[in-house]
Amino acid sequence: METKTSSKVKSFVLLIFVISSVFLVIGIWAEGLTDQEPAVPGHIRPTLVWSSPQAPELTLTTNPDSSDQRLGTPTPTVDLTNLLTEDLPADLLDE
Amino acid sequence: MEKDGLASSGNVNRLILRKQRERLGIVLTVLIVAAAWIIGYFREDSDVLESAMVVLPGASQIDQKNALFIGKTAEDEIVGYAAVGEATGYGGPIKVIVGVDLNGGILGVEIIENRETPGFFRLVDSTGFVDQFIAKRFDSTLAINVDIDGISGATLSAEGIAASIRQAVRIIASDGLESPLPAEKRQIKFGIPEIILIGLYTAGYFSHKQKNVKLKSRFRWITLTTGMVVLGFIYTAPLTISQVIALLSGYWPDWHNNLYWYLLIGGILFVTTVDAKNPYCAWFCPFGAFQETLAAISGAKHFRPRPWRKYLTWLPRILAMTAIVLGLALRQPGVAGYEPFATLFDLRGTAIEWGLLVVTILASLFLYRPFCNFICPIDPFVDFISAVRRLGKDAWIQWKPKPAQK
Repeated sequence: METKTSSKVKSFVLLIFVISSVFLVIGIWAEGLTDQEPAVPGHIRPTLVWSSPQAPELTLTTNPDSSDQRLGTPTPTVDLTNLLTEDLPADLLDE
Repeated sequence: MEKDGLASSGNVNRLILRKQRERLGIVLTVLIVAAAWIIGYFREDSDVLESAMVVLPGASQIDQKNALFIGKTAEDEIVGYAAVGEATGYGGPIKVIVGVDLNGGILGVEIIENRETPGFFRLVDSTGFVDQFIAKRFDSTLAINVDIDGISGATLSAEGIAASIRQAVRIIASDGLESPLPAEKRQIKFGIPEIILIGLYTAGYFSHKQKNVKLKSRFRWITLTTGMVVLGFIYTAPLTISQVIALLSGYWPDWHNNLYWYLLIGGILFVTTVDAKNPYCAWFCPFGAFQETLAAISGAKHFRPRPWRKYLTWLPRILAMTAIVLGLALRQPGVAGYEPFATLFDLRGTAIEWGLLVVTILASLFLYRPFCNFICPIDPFVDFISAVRRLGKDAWIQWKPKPAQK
């Protein structure tokens, strides 16, 4: 009788353990995969901001939800005027 | 008599069927793993140009000359040089770009690619590890424990970053600053963990063969306790599926600094291939030892109900296979690992990893080594090597030249 009860308890513990572990393992994978883009240091998303045609700016941003992952001494805003104006079509510059 | 013959013939048929299934399983596994490997191979890419500007503040344009990035102002004045360096960390290659000014001072360091476990790689950021390199001169040692502090809990990642920074700096020194650095002296790292590991493999190998059950059990407790204390709590260096995936991906770390990695994986492959025995799990796996200690305290015994046996055998195999396919296809060994080893031994992990550890500890009070028996991916990996060994042995017996009949 005691053995049967013990066996039932163990079966219950085993079932709970296996089910919860599988869900937790899937959770660990999901967490790792979703973490990839914004939270890994070095993944910086450059955005070209056309504040004015004469002074376009390249803004380097990270995901606003995560802490700033930039390393070293980043330059958040880079003046690209001289770099880009040569390649831009004249009509776009006129606008 | 006739019944015995029928029973014997039935057993032979079952054995043949089992062997055929095993062969099919091996072929399918190899095909799936190969497909994942190929997918992962074509996914590898990185864009470094974006990061060159970040490590060269003041530069408004970047010119590229072979492996060297030259940062220039709008007036075409050179502000500094940048180059990419690459070295292997815990999960695979770590790629960095380093910017150096004209006087040889490091201006910026940017990690542009890594395959480490995200939870642990965050330590790199939170400890400000990379900031230590800023303003250092290009001809400094730039080595951990010399002029750079390491990261406790992410040693291999830190070693990988430092090595890749040194590589980038060497390129800048020779191609940009025209002051080539002398060849780097690489010392072989061989210390207590390596010695203990060799000792544990040797003890496990010979204790296997011990006929005296009591003595064998005592030996096993000694190796288990040593594994748990030294490889677990002191060095946090158990075997993980991430290391297996890194091995399959070809992300082999520099052996001078990572002899332990080679001994750990090489040892398990060697002993399993030669002796068809798992030298690790039952003998000195730190996490297994921890669960076994809990079982010894609570009196938990083996439990595997017959109706569930098949499913419980296949569960860790499926989890191991999923981890390997995920890790290979994404080329992210660190992401695929799910064992809560470091959570226990280093007290670091995400909420979910802590959840898995707590569930395992509670279950260990009722069941004997629940994580090892039903979830852990290492045992299925070792089983697979054993199955391949059996297949090879059978093929050899079938094909080996037969002695000529007189």
